Amino acid sequence: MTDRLVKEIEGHLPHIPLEIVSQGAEALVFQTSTHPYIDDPYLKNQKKYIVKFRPSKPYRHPIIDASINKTRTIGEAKFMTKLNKLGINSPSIISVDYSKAIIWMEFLGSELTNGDISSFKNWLWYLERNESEAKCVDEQVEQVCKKVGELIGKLHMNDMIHGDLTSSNIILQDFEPALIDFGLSSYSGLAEDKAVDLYVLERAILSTHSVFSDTYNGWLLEGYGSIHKQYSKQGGTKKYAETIKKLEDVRLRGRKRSMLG
Amino acid sequence: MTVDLDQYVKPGKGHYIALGLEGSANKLGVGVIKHNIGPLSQTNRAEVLSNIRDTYVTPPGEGFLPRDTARHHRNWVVRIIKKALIEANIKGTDIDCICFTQGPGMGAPLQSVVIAARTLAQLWNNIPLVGVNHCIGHIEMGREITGADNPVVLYVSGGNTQVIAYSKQRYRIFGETLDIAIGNCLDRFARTLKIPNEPAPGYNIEQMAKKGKHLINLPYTVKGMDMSMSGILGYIDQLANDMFGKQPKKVIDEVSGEPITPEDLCFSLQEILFSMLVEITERALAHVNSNQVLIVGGVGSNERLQEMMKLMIQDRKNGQIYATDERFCIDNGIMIAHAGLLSYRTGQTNLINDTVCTQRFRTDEVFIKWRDD
Amino acid sequence: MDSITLPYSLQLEVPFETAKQAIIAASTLSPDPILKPNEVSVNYKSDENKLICQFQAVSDRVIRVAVSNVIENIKTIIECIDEFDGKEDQYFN
Repeated sequence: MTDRLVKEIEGHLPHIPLEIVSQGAEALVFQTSTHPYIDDPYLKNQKKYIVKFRPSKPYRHPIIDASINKTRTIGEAKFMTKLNKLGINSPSIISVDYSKAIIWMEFLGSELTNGDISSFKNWLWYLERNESEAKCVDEQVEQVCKKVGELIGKLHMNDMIHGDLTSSNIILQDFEPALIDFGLSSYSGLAEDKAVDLYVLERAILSTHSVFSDTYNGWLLEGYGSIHKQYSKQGGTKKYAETIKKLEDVRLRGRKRSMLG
Repeated sequence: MTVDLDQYVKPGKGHYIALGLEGSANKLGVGVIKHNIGPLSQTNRAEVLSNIRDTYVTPPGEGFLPRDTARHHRNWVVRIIKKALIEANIKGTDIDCICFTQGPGMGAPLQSVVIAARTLAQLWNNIPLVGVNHCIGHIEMGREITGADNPVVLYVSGGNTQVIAYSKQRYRIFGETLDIAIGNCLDRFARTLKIPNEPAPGYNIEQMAKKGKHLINLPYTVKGMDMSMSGILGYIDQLANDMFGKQPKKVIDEVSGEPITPEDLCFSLQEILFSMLVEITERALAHVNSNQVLIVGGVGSNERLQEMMKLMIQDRKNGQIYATDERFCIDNGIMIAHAGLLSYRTGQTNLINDTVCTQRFRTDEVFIKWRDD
Repeated sequence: MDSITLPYSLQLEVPFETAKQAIIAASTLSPDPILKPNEVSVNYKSDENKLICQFQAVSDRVIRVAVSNVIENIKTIIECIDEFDGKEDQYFN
């Protein structure tokens, strides 16, 4: 985070105390103790809220930049609203300012022992760096992985695509996973789009948590499958089979991709 | 670094010399590098003794085909080796190992070069051979030249588009293209516009893009840390064919009312593709908590890409960008010599039957024995 | 591989100056697998100063292609030998 960006957000939200949580590729994420209008009794955390701000990106052509920031802020807010309605774990929306590309939302997650926020990634890294190997693949990790798979399964059953599934974009609230970061989200019933969503996650797990990636990916897919079974009346079993078949195609494409000029 | 890199030094010698041969695409490169004993550092840098390259250039509108490229390499490889030896002022007995690109790349050109490597190694009292992954060559040379210690690497070339970060003795791929490579996308569009391939199609697109003003609307296709480019290429190819085909159609810029030019097309293509590249790089930085970016590969010499990356990194705390110039960015033999020598210094060499080249050779397949951080 | 006998065969003999050169040529050519092993096979060996390449294939056309590829490689080997054999102790200029 640099002064230029701090000034930009302070210009948009004067007198609001903001503390940086993370600087992603698209957005700056702050936490604040200030609620923008009135406290909401249903929020899990009543003391802290998240402010997500998409600053303009000086590297992009202004036309590309404006279009991306606008569509992503609107897209993310709408997607989250739909997730909230469907009861798929994700932060609740508090308020949105489209013109300034700011979203206020519920604060999910907690601090890990090392002070990092309890994202799925940080938790797995914490285990890997501080705990035994057995602990990295114990029952609790298995449970969480399966729950993450279930969560993605629910998302896909509703023809919703996250677009940027990584272990960074899953936050753990008392070991219950919730999805975050929907800037690249979209809606699609196509098995291909769902398969790419899964492939992106599979690869992220492989590169980020390489030691146990096969185990983690196996559990994730197990959870993903079990939810589809639960939705068998809505065609879940068939959809699952289609997506997994496509996933194999996408993997093969990855391996066979020509590396020639 | 705590890896002992001097277990295999020749008795009585204080340095190593490696010959590197590269020919995975249309560049034939031969380089000679020298490492002094001890770990490489700011005060113990690798020394480039020679770095010779010859590029196979095709007529406008034509790409380089494997057969013809292999013929070019065969025609030149012995002469280029000789030139590299002369410039380095070394003799055969000075060489510790002969390194060659084992992949990824085009099969026939790779094979045409390894033949020379095998022959020379045997002629000169069986100098050890070391097969090198082309991508690892780019990464290690980039790190050595720029001094970037543990960067997120954006590797952009005619055949590859990858966002890479090191972890646990492998260079792991965090993001990559889901279809075609960035350089391939630019080269193919250059062919559509019949832009000359001399000195390089991408270079000529870059020069034209500098004169472009109007941005045309193109799809933006980022998927997490991955990206897709074939749709964008299809779209802009179609547009170019409409504009310059048999029945030319005028396309007008909506904002200014001025006609769209080929320069505008190059400009727009670069702007959209590079925005995507910078975005996935930044996403990887955030994901692995890093603030260093190293750009390698032929497309990495594009000034606009470097500028955009710089603007991105300036907005990140302690952000640093590293890039090399065309001597090292564009495929070359010295990077193969350098990465191969690192491999050699950790005892990794190839028996002659184990020197078969492979078109597909993923960056994360290579065990990075020379790092243990 | 030896058990398969294909209908077309050809033997190419290339004389070198020394036996060592012929051995080097054979071991340089040997590692690379043939692209279509069920259509063509090549075996390399040396006999004194001769490199011997034995081809077998399903058609004469396939043999021609294979022979032509091998000759291309042999040209590189010979050029290498011409320029570098016995010169490991000298500077070039």
